[in-house]
Amino acid sequence: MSATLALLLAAAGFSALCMTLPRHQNDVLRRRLPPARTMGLRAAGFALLAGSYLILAWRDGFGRGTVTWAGLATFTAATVVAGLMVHARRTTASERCSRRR
Amino acid sequence: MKGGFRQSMAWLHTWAGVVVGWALFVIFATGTAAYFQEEITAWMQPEATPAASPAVAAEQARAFLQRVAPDAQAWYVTLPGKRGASTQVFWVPAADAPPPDRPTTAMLDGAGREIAARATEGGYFLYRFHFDLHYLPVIPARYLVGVCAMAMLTAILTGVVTHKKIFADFFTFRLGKGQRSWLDAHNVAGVLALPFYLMITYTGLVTLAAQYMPFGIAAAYPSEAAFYEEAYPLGPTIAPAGRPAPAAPYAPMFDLAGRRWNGAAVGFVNTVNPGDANARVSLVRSSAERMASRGEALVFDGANGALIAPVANTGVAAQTESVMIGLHAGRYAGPLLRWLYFLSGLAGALMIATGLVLWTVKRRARLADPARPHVGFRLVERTNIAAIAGYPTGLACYFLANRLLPLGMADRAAWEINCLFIAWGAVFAWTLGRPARCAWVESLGAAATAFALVPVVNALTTPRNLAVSLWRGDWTYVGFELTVLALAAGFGWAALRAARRAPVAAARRKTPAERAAA
Repeated sequence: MSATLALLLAAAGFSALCMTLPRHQNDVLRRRLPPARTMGLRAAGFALLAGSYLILAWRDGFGRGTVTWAGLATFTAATVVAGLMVHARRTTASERCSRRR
Repeated sequence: MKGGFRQSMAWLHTWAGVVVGWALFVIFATGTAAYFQEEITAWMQPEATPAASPAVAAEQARAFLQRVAPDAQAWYVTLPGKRGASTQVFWVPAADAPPPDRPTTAMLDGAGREIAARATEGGYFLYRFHFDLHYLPVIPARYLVGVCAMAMLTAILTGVVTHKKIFADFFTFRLGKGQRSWLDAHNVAGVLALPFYLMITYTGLVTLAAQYMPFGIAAAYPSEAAFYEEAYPLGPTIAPAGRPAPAAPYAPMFDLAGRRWNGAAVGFVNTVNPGDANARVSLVRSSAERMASRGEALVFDGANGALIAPVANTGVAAQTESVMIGLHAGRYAGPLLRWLYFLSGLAGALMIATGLVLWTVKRRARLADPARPHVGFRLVERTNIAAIAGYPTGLACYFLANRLLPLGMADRAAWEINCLFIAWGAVFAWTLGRPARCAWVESLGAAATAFALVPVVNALTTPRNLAVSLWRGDWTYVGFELTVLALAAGFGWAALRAARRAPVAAARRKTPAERAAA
């Protein structure tokens, strides 16, 4: 249960951090966010990651919690990358369709 | 090394990677599979059934050993754990005993009966292959693996320096952009699991540090034996009294161990001088319980059951080493963490594979005549295919051989392993005679087919097919077969992508007539 929560928090955290990067703002939002919003997202992203770490450290103790969190962080960050790839595919496919029309 | 710091690091990264990359891929892939070595062994011995609880299994093992090996010098019992392994027993026959007429090992089921399981090394082979290789003497093999691990550590650290935009490119993976896509894949696989790679490579070197760097031992101890005696005390050795004595029951010893270790399970029961008045029973804590790999032990008088001594707790350095090895082997990991280890390992294999492919993709563009690359390029290209697609094919054939080789075959376990290398060698030989693109498509397709066949052949040769396993909730079998199917899907996808790209590459190449005209 708490592991699922940690996973969701980490996924949300990496999604937020991803949206602070200019390239992904352009790709996903089609515009650049104002610096204040970017800063806010970055803070939220790191806070969410810290939250997921605290949950695992509380559940498994400092040692095991750290190891599990590192693994979970790798996994969730990879999921965000996969999500971006799917998004990029969809947008290029729909662009191709609209051009054809 | 010309140019600046980053250029020289990039040079080191490239060559540290490419020189040992194939061995690293094999070592990484095997080690990753070995995280599930007990589950793999369970799959490879479909005759084995779930075992009893530790204390019951210990009594069953004793009853078995009293019948089969009453005069042995020592009994070693590995108790079943949470991962559903059966009880393993192993004994050392008396010094004056005639040569044994049966193997001195056995596997017991939940009722304490010996299991007549098929001969196989199971997942244990993968675990040993990961650092001992095969067909090679152990010590040189471990030096080879050590050289690879050192090169890996170099490649990781220089890779971090070489990577210009770790944070800006953290999530970047652009498909369909040729060399750029390979670089993205290599970067993403490298950066996302970076903590794992650093940990696993460093702790991997630590596991064999005493072999690689024995100089400290040589300087401080009169002999290596003296060092091991102090570092890993086995408790006082004792000669048999020569008088038989009844054995004390295990249950009170297990209770005491449980209290001392806050409820942690016992993993091993070792008995010296069994059946003698000077019998000694040591209970060793299960390695699944704590990160430190060397479990604490309690020694009891085997005749009256009294606690003699806990084996002295070793020093801080030894504890640190023990935790590092535990972190590497991951025996303490529960299901979630074990899967995370496995996925991180797969990411590592992908990082190495994409790095190797990147080497050829980069150089192909710069070749004088792309249709006829020079020898070095061809060698790297072919060896890449043999390692990245050929080795997994061999691995799948190891599982297939486990189901297909006759049960009564002589040296059956060894032949399962031979099948791995025969299939791997066959893929390598096949790719030598084919154009590179076709070789990629065909060997990736072979890997996909071989993995996809594993559940099929299992269903045809044993009653434990995937549907039955799902119905029974046998998650070891379900997990193994779904993982194998996922690997088949992954290799199939890679083969399709390689096939789709093939015509593009062919179109770019000039025909012989054009070349003659030019």
